[in-house]
Amino acid sequence: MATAVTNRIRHLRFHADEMTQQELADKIGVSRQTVVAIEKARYSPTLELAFRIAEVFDVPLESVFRYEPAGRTGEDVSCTVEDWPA
Amino acid sequence: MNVDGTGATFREQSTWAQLITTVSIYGVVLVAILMDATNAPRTAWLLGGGVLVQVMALAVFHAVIAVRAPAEPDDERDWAIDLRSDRYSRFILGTGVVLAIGAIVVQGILAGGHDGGSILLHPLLTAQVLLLFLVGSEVVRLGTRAVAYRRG
Repeated sequence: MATAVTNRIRHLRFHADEMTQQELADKIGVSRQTVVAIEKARYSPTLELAFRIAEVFDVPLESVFRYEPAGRTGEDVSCTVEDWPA
Repeated sequence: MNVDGTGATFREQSTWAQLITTVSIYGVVLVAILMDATNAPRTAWLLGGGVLVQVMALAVFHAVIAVRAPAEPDDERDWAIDLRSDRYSRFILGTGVVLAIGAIVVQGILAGGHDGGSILLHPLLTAQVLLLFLVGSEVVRLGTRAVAYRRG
């Protein structure tokens, strides 16, 4: 089940010299499976891990994660992940 | 780093190994125990044998899994999944403990404060109720953990 926290990690990885999920996982100290779960919005990381991810891409936290409760937008949050403006 | 191509980490594959061995070995042990429920030496041998077989089976499973997907340190998602699965299993185990306490208290009441010796309230049956719920809680813990790893 998708959470209300969406992210642009896939987009950011692509623009970071096509960083692989495993490379990102190694940089932030988690398994690749955890990166996959976060990217698919199936798992919301802790604040500390979220900051570590933002630090890897050298962007502010809000450029990586966004809180989009389904009730507020009336949309399926899992569908909005790739639709963020760059 | 996972190298086996399934996308499953060492921990997830270990969870499946524990689930399969727990269900298969303790399923057989429980049925065998209940076939002669008041035989204490037989119960002890079956339980001891079950533990030994599971330890050996898990050693083999983990040796194979370690080659396919070397172990990694646990991360925060592993801890979150553990917390969730422990919550469900604690409920099952707690239910078993309450039932066992209830059985002991009822035994005391029916015996009028003395040892009644009723076959229905044999002390071994209390142990078997506890064992049943202990195995049940482990199956629930490992099952919810395995599902959580697949679903995210």
